[in-house]
Amino acid sequence: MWSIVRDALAGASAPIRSQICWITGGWVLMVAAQIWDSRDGQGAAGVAEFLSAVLGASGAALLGLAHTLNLTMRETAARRRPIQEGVAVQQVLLALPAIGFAAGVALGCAALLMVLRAMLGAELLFATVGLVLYSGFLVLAGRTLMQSVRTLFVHASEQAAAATQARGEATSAQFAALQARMNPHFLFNALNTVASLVRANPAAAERVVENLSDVLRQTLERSSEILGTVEEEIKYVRTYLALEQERWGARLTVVWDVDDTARSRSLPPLVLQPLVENALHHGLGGRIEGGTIRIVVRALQDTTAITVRDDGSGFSAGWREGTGLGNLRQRLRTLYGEHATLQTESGSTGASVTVIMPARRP
Amino acid sequence: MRVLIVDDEPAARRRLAALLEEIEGAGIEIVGEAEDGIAALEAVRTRRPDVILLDITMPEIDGFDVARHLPPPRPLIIFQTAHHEYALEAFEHEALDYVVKPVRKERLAQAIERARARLATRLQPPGWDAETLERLGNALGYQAACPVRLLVRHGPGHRLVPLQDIVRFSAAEGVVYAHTPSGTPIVDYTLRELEKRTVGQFVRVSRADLVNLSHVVRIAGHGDGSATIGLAEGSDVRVSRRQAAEVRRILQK
Repeated sequence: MWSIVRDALAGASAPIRSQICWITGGWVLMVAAQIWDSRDGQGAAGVAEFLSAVLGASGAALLGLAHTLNLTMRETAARRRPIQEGVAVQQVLLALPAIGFAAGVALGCAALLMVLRAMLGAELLFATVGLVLYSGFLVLAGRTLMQSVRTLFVHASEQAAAATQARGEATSAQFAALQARMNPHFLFNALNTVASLVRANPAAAERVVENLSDVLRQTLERSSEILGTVEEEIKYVRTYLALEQERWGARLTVVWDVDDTARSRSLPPLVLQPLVENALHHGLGGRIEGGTIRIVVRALQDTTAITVRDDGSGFSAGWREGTGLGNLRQRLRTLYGEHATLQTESGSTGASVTVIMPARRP
Repeated sequence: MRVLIVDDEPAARRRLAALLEEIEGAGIEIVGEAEDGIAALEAVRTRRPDVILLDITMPEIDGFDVARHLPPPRPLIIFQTAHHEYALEAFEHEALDYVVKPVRKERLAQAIERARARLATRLQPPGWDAETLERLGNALGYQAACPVRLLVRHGPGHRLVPLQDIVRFSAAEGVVYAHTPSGTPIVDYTLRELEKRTVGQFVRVSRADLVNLSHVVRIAGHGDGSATIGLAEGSDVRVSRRQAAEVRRILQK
């Protein structure tokens, strides 16, 4: 959150910077005047003097802060950005009306106290000047309040548009996955396996039916989510692999290497599954001996890293990234912008695909 | 009747064995099981089955590959396929059979019966040439992927050689050879077939040669329009006039 504010201030244009200088200068002068004013005061008048000075100074400071932030954040707020960043910006923007409101309250009290001071016999001219000043600031506070609310509204509508886009992409990705699961070949293979098992190993056949049900059901249920957890995705992939394992037999070995702390982290659904499917069919599929797939999930401090590695023959000469991976890249970009990466590596001893994305606690 | 079961899924093999045992009066003897193409070819060579139940979709060496590499005396083939399509006519003409997976017992019994009748005539099963297999493959809507390894002859049997180790294929007197650093084994595919299967990795430079692109280090043109390619291992290969332009274009990429 602070980094967003810092970046916004650093990126402020020259006119805004000079405005900030003027505001700061003016505030210093005002405080100097207040100090000079309250150099001698006793009793109730003195207390009123002191309080109005403090409230006035702090109210004006808050106002200055709110106004400055509003100016610098306006441009930041209007840009459409990846959803995860947008939430952080929103938190900053929510603070602004609150600051403006606090400034207004402080200034209002300061103004009232000025009136009180006048009634208690302070210098009329000075009191009038103070009253006018604080009232003016109060009006400004009101205006800043309204502006920051408007900035917040602009930001919110941009984020809603980004969320709609993300949802649209998520839906089409999950629709594609659903189609793949409903794909006659996938179903056909699973049913074939059931037919083969049902006499000699009815228990295994039953398991295949249950796993197939689970995979289809989970694909359906998760198709409306934009974010799930690592644990959910692992469960889904385990079921998918149980189905595949029944067909591959000894030709497939799966090794899981998951940091426990990563399990509760956020993860868009159907990120791990396409990587595993890729490794199975393109990595190991073309080899008589099959091979091993390693699934690694690492919980790093700010990011989560998911790697799927196979020890097949590597990408063949004419290999191009398929629609599955391309689709995944697009979804990651919409959700995380430049903060998520997808990298592929290939050699004669195998291939690996790694996805790194920010770790946001759900 | 000696039967060999070939399928990459263990459960499928078990089921076929169980079904075959239940078919009465057929005198079926299951001589073995194979779970991939290489094992299938080896089993045919050593156990000499009369009939082979052959799964088409297997990793790396599929049923068609096995069919065309079968050593004589060739067994009768009952293919196991995923689809019906209009393949029936093509198969009937070639006098063998196919069943869809998972096969019904009655259908399997019928196929076995037809095989027995055919065996009784003592006619040699037809050879599997490239065109026949292509036609059958098309009829089934089946397409082979670009191989990583290729079946080559090795003594009485076969072995797999990584495609990238093959410098070039050459054809002489109807026989196709694969040139590798460790030898020049015979290959049972035609150059045309190889050209189609290795598109993107190999380039046809003349009627007699198909060259691995990654082994090409230079090309030099001649006045008459032909050219010569220099290979990494030192030898040169002639590029015919007809192919020169195409070869250059592919090398540019």
